[in-house]
Amino acid sequence: MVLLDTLKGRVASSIPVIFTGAGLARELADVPWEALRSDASVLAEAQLNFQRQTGMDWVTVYSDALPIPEVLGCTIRFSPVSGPLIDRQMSLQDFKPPSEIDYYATRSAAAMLGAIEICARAVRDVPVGVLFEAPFTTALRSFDATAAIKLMFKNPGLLRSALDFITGVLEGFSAEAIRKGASVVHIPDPFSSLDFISARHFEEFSHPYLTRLIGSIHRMGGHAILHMCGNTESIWPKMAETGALGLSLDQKMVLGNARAVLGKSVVLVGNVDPIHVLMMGDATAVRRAAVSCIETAGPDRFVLMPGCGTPPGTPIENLRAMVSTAKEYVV
Amino acid sequence: MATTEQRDAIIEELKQGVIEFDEDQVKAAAQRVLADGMDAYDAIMNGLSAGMSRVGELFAANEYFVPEVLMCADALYAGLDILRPHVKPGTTAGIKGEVVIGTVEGDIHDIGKNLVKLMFEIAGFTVHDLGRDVPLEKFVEESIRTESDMVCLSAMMTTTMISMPKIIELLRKKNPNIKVMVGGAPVSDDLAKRWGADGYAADAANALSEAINMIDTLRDLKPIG
Ligand code: B12
Repeated sequence: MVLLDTLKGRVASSIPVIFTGAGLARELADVPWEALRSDASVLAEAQLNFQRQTGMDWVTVYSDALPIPEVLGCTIRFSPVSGPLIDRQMSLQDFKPPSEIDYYATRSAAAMLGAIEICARAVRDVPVGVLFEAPFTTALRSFDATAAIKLMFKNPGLLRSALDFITGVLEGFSAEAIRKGASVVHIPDPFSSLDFISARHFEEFSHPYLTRLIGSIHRMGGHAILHMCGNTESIWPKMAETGALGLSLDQKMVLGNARAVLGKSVVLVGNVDPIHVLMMGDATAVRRAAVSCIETAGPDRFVLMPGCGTPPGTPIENLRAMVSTAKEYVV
Repeated sequence: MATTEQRDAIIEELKQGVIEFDEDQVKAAAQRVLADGMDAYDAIMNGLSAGMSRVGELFAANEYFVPEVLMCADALYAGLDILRPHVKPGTTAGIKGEVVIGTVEGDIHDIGKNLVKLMFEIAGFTVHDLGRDVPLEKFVEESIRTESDMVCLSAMMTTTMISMPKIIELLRKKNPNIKVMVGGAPVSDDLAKRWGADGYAADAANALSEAINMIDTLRDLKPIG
């Protein structure tokens, strides 16, 4: 279990490598989106297959980022081009929080929880991870994003109460996921990026809820990795303060700089370019990029990962090259 | 009639109202423009639009972020709604063109596209906005229906931007003279050239200057100032 060892701060026998990418897992398994996000065994088999084919150090269970928005009341449609989409975002002004949350009443969420159970029984050598987005990103995804971000100025209290509610929903979902056998929780927060909001707004509307969620996850025995897209440089210390065991950074960021700022207090996760290197490059380019990440941020307290999700169409040989580079790296 | 000082003060209020995203201040100042018989076009260009240029600078300098820019855009639209009906025909001595804009099929990101649209609108273009997740053929139909000079395509995902070359091909088939500009975070100058687009810009301000150049070559119209 090199991933858990590394996240826990122990010396691992090799550098762990992980990928996320439901679209790619779906493509490799050749199953329709509808089945992937409604049938626990289809989802489990697709993600197990993704792990087997790459040899990566976890199985991540998720079909897309939308089961939680669905639990909150959003409806989904399928785009022939890009897969599942939120049909219509809800209006935060009119939102009535459901008095009781039943994760199993939403098919896609139930499929995720069921798939975690199947995967946890199927694998022994690698941990099972679960992926859902952070409170701030979930809020903007579920409610009309353009209107919701303006609430930071127009009605911060309303936005805060929604974030509070969503954090509770995510805590409840984490509890179920951990009970079913997930030990790693991967939390992407693309909307908290400095490419989108200011550091001040991150501190006000994202950081407190992340800290609360990650605290709960750790109390329940899970291990949280926080991922943020784009530029995050000036908020690295704040990201570390959330308590996340691993900080996963976009390929735009220089891991060596993050190491210099954060020291060895945190596990760094990243950050091979998923598009220009993994998808469009060859195995030699992948190896070179992987070694450069390992050398600037590792080899200890480090997990090798792409800077973001691995897109469909990425050649499997490139993913294998990334895994073997880490496994063969002599510390 | 307002004195020069009064005019300057009102223009400054419009400008600052946009920069500080104070919708009420912008609305009040726009009403005063009308009440004092000032030139609405002057107020749009030197007040609202000048304010938005400053917002663009603050954004580029990482002092403003997307939420701030959207708030400023709201303030700007509040002023435009009041002033635009009063722009005298003929005083808009600037470029005017017709543009079709939309986010391509499968993609629902429209914040960036809306900012590009806003820049076009304040410069006096007529913009036909198809919204987001727009089927390929819709761009062709709308450009023919409106006899537009240019079509602007936006995409924010690697999975959706690949429909851009298809749309360009369809557009060219129907109207070889139509100008096509592409943009959005994953799109690059290189890709735009490879796909046969006439233009690309990395942000909304550059999108406007690029459009002015392109339509210039098409119609030989002179850009403002
Ligand atoms: C806001 C946002 C959303 C909102 C969109 C709200 C809305 N109404 O637009 C919502 C919640 C709906 C959303 C949904 C999703 N998103 Co999103 N989203 C973002 C986010 C955080 C910001 C994008 C943005 O608005 N930027 C601000 C604007 C101002 O910048 P811009 O769009 O680049 O526009 C400027 C320029 O590009 C240019 N420009 C834009 N268009 C044009 C057009 C022309 C002609 C020209 C010349 C110039 C030009 O000018 C603009 C102004 O200066 C980014 C991540 C990030 N931090 O950037 C992810 C991101 C774009 N999303 C992403 C994804 C994957 C998704 C989802 C698929 C996730 C999911 N599984 O649910 C969904 C579904 C989207 C779909 N199918 O369309 C990925 C895309 C990855 C990729 N490269 O393919 C990103 C990068 C995040 C990530 N890494 O995961 N998202």
